[in-house]
Amino acid sequence: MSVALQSAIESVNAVILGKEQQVKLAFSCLLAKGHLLIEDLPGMGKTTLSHALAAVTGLDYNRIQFTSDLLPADILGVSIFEREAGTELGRFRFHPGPVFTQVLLADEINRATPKAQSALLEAMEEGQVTIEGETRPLPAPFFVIATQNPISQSGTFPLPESQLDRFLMRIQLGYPHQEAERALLLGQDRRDMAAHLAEALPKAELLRLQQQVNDVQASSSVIDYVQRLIAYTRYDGGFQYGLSPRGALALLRSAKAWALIDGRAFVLPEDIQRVLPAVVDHRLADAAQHGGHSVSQQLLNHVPVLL
Amino acid sequence: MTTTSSVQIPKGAVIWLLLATATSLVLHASHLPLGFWGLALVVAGWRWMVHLGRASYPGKMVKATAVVLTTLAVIVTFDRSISLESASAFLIAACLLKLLEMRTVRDAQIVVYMAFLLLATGFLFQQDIGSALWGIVSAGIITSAMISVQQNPYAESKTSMRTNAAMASRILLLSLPMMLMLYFLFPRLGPLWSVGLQSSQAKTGMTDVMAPADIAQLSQSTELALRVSFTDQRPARSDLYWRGLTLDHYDGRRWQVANTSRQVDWAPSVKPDVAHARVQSIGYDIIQEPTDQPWLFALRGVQAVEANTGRTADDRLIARRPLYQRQRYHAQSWPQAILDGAELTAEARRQQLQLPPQGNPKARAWADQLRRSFVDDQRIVAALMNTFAESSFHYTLQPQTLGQDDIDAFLFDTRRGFCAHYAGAMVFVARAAGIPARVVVGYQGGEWNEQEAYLTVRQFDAHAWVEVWLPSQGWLRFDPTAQVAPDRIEYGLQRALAQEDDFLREQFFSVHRLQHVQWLNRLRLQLDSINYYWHRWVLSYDRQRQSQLLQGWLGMKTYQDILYGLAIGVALLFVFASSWLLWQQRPRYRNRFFKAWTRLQKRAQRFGVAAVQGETSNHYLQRLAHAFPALRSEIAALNRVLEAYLYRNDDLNDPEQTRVVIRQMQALRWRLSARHKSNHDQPHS
Repeated sequence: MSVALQSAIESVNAVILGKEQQVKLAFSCLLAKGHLLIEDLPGMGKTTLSHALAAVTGLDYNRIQFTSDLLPADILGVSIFEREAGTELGRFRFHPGPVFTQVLLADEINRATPKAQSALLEAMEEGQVTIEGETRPLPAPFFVIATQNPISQSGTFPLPESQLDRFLMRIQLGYPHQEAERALLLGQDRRDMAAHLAEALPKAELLRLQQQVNDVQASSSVIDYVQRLIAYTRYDGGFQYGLSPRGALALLRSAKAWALIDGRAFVLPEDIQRVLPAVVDHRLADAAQHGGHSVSQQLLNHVPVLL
Repeated sequence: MTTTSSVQIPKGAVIWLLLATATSLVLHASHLPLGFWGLALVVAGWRWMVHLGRASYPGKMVKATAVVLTTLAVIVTFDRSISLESASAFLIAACLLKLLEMRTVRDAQIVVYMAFLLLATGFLFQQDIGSALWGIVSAGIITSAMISVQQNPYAESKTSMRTNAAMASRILLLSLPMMLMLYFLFPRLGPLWSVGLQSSQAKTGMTDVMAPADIAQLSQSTELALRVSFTDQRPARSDLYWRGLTLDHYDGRRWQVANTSRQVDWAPSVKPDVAHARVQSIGYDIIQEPTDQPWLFALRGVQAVEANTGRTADDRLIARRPLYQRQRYHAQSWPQAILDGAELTAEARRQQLQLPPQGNPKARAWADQLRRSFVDDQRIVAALMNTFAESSFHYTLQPQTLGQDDIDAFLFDTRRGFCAHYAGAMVFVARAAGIPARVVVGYQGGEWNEQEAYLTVRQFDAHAWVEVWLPSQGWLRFDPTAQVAPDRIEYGLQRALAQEDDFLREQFFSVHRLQHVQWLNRLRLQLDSINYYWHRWVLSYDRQRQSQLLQGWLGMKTYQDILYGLAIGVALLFVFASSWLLWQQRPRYRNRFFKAWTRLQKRAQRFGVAAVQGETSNHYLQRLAHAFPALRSEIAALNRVLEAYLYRNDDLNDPEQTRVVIRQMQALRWRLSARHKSNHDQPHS
């Protein structure tokens, strides 16, 4: 594994205590050029995590607090008529919105109206923004971390499946365990720490790693396993609908990124299994009507790895 | 989920159902009145229009009217008689009308079952090999209809007719062993009741009254009468006189069967009186077409050997029941036997000399003259035969009509006629001269199929000849026709009528007329021999032959044995089918690696480490290592090898690497067994 990546992960782990899996998934998502949805209660460290990620990678960072009166222009930017100083003449000038950044934290994305949500989601999908007929590319890398609150849903606009699909992964942070919490209570302010993290993963190194994800080998046995998983969601699992080809690609890509973080140039079925809940559960949340087990758990329990 | 009863018929099934009904009707073609075909067309057309959405189902009134009308039609058409034909016509009408209310899958199933029933009843009327082949085709179509009915009516992709038909033929093919077993083993019970065929009157064949016109009628028919195969050597053609009836009562116009002394010696009858012990007998098998009469046909000097057949006092073979179906029987004949050689009973003598009091004075006068000039019976008969040979008699199937004293007119004026005329005239004169004589009707000759060694006797081989009783020699056969037209006896009717071009005059297109066309004749004989085999080996397989076969091959004697055999056969079929299914479900591996891997897991499972679904090989092997600490290093090595093999190098298709990995897994499997054994041997180590 790249030393830079190693130290970046370690420094984020120093801020977000006891969440190694989630941090690793977040980094996988970053390396796989996907976007991340963090679903958890307020105050669980969602914002801190995104801060820390931005800080260790040295990327530009913007934050949008989504509210129900948020307009697309508030995200994308707006053209304003500006008068030349002292003259009667003037022209429209584009004021880029907060979306023109490298790491974007879309806080409480489900509080905004679908109109505003879709403005962001289009930008996420295409990597560019078209305003008033002019297409403007977004900076690279472009990494969106959206958060949403799973409870107290009144007055929210939950993201429909088609839009959930745009997020490569959805993770939950969850409560820290006891020791981590104790360390948290004894330690200094996490926001501060996050803000002052040293840049560990330079942009060039990040882009190189993103490129390297493509070169990770997935053997035929792994592809077979992925196909069995997809087939199970589509035909055998009793779900209303199955995983889309985009979902399948997302699964493999995430697994490759995970393998790369583990320092391997090939994918193991374990990689698939690790990223599976983050990649699959939000895409099939509505398709599965099973209480208790999540979709990913069902897949892990029923789909043979070697056949 | 709705029940099948209320589900709509799948769209694609309607054409199959109509087709199935149509094919099941084909075997009824021979007897179904024309009107019923009209009904079939109307009903099928209506149902098709309903299918297309251009018509609606008939209402209650229409249906009720249709039922009443068709019932009346059946009653009227068949003249209120209850026969097989009328019953089957009624069944057909009911099946056809069912089509009009075929809405749900349940209705369609009923139509399918009715089609099967109609097909089966068709075999009451037609049993030849062509019908059997058609039955197979039809069963395939009906099965296809059954399959199409079972398809999901809401399915988006319809299965093609071709797939349906393929599936149906597979089903039929799979049921073949069961069919054969039932054919051979199922007890052949006689019918519990029987209904005669309406068409019996219309059947061509012998009647028990000989008016010459009847035989002329028969000579126009190519219908099959008998098929004969000889168990020993075949007699010469001129000796093939198949005796059917003896007619010994003459009423001045017609010869009839007298109802005297008809006692029957049922099989096995006594052997006829044979003068020389070395005289050979002739054994033969006859397959006789149904005649609705109890008469069987046999050569002279017959002994009844087949059960339910008997020999009458006048040396004929007879069955206990009329032949409503084709029947096969065996008989044994001693053509040289002396029949009634000792003396005729007074009653028989009176009967064989019976003549009407008046009529034919010239013939009577001639008889008197013969009696005076020759005295001896034998010489009188010889002189009679001579007369036929030497006088200018002419053999023709179209003689002039004869008036009042027809025998006189025939003997002294026209001298044109065929066998019935000759036989009748000769018996008349013989009786008038005081010699007991009788007319025998039956068939003469037949067509020998050299290839398959059997004889085909058709209706146009019908013949009448004479038997005369001479003291101490008994009944002797004389054939005046042979004197007039030797070709009729030596070669058959066709040759005898060569000049007149009379043979089958009314059936211009009959293949029998075209016997001079070589290839056509050969083809006809081939087809005939196929049909012969069909009759001999399939249709005539009755209770007796079944018991013979089963006794001969399997040693089954009683019905109990047969039922056991049937049960065992069915059980064997089930065992076979289920083991085949099991074999079908055997685990199949893509690769030898997966087989070895599964075997390793199975072995480990016996020792308590069961594979968990959805577990990676790495995880599994770690658990295994935990369970068998002594093998930790081997297992770890295998784990590394597997990782490289499966995931790093992707060597699944590399035979060399696969061999290495398999060898390693085998080795581990053996080590596991050995380890487990030693653990067991020393539980406290």
